[in-house]
Amino acid sequence: MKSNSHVEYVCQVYNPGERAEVPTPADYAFGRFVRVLSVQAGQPDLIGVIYNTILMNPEFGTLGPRLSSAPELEIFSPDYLSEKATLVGILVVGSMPPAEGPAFQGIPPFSAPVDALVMPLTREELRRFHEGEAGPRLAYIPHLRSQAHPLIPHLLLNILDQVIELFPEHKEQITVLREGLAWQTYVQPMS
Amino acid sequence: MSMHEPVGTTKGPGESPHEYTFVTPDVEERVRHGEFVYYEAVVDGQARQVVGRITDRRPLRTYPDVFMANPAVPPAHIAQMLGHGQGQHELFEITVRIIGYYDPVLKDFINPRLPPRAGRPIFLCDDEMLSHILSTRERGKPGSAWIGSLLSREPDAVPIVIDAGAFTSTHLAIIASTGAGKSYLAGVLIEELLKPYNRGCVLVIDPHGEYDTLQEMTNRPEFQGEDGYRPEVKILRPQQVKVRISSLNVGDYRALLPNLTERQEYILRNALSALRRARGDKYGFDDLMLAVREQGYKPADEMDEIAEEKPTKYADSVEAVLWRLDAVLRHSTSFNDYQQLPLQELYSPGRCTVLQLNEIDAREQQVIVATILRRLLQARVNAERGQADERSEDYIPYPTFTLIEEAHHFAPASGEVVTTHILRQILAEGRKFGVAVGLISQRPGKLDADVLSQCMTQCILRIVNPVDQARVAESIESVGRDLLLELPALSKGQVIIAGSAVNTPVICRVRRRHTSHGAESKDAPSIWVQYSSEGTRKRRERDHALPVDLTQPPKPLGSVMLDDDE
Repeated sequence: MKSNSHVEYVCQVYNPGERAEVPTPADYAFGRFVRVLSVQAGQPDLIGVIYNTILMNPEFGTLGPRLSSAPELEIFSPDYLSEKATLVGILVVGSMPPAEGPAFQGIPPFSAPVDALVMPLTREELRRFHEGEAGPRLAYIPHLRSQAHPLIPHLLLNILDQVIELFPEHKEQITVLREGLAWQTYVQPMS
Repeated sequence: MSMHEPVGTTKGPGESPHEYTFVTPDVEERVRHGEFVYYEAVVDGQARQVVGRITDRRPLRTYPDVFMANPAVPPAHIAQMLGHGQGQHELFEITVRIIGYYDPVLKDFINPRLPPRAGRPIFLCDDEMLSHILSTRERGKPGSAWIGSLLSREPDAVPIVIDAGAFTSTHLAIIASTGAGKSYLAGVLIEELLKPYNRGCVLVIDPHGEYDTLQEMTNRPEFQGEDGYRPEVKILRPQQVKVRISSLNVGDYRALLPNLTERQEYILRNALSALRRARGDKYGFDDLMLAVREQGYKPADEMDEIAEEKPTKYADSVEAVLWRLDAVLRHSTSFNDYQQLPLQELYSPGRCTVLQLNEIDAREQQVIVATILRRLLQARVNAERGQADERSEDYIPYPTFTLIEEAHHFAPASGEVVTTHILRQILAEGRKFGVAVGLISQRPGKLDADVLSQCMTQCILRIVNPVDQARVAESIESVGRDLLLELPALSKGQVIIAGSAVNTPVICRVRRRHTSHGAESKDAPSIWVQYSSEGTRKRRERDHALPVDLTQPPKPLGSVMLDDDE
């Protein structure tokens, strides 16, 4: 991993061959909530959300003639292939203890360690992260909105859809927020 | 929160030099429109509490519109979801108009022309302070009139006691839409004037016959004085209202006989001055007719017995005047040769006279009021100058207060009527002679603007009509713009009192009357239902039934039984 700020991290997705189980595209999809594992035992993990994907391909643009064919290159320089990578941008929105305990939404005081592992959140973990005293908590939304990135509005809509699905009993309440954001995202820019 | 804890913190100046703003969380919702607050300042080396009235209140933190998309979802829930706690978040910016600090020596407010510094605490005036500074008089003391209590506080927490001496010398206006409580308030004022500590001398001109119930004052304990005083209430029914023909002047005739031509007026004027020269004020209807007649005919030559009087060129007009005078005055119940209501019967300290003018024609009402007011002003001028005959029935050696209901009939904006001139005169110079009037009107828009603007104490109840609101705004400068905005929002029995009888304009809840209210609206549907109910219908049929139906031929009632033996 690398970071651009206290809350903005870049994570490299495992390529085939690097891991027994390689992540599927759904695991690092846009809007997916992830857990950045802490190194110290007992410290809560950072919770983030994928807001951007970048493909790294050093070969891109090298259109000149080659002496070796592609199958030969696999034999002569195997490490070269691993330089192609999928990077995902993660915005940290809170933290949560690994097993149990209250989740925190907002800017966590500590940062993620370099080379920390990033895991997608399960449905149960996602629900736990959003659980408030009276219905869902979305206290990180104002923080996300303040980030200057063109995809943020769409990220917010994506997140709200997930939360509606997690908390169907509070659908009306979340929909008010979603509709407001949808209007600002789709209609207002056209006026 | 106690009254001595600050309710807010000064933010900065307002729009005008006499305004400032402060910010308050107002958790207990006590910082309302019209409420009184103060800040502390040192003026001329003395610590003063500078009082002001709240004129505007606007929230500083409002929810975004999109939070209100679904009426079933409170925006607070959405704010809570976004991480905002349930704590008190509301904040208000309050605009205050500075009234000034109260100077107990001058008994008035003095504006220090020193707005509060930013960041200074603002306090709510407590009830005791307000009772002390808003009312010019102490309740129950001579010259006081207890009207009710301050609207923004609990009922009876801050009594509003106005200066009866002020409004009974520099005139009063009570203005409101119909049904807002004008007559009720007038009743309260009359009650206060007749209390043992005032013993007022009040005449009520009552064109609708609504003030009968004031008679209850005589026997109610509130009005009994320790020295045996009890107010006298005299109701003069329409048939008792008498005006002597000799007290009418040309203006009165002009009002009674509308569209008098110039020639007819000339004849009448000549006849009246001839009569006055010959008989002073001791003449009657027949004398008047004769005097008018003389204007049209040359007297017959005394020497020539067979000669008849000769008509002049005015004869036709004279006949017209005679005919018109005859039509109006001969059968009038109000105008007559000898009887006249003595002023002392109308005006006497400790007495409230109600002059009921219902059933009397509107033009005659105006003439009656004009003659009474004219005589009153003359009597007071004479009394003040020591020129009055003390044995006369019209000797009035004390100030008087005349309350005129439906004042727009007597001083209309649309043109002059016979009472307009005398009302203007009384409003302009009556103060010097102790002749004060109180005008009650439901249509200030139809009331003469000069007349309205000369009433120095104003009681304004709810006014919805924009024309009337505009008239009030232009004629009554002592009521601030901010209070005028309250006019349509006032409820029944809530009144803005401004002018010389109060230290600063106040919104007051009128107290309950001791006597019952005589001008209640009729509950038409319940009366209709009662009218057609079974019992009433049968009674009516019984009462209206003919004793015998005479339209049918008589039927045999039976036959005479004959004894068989005969």
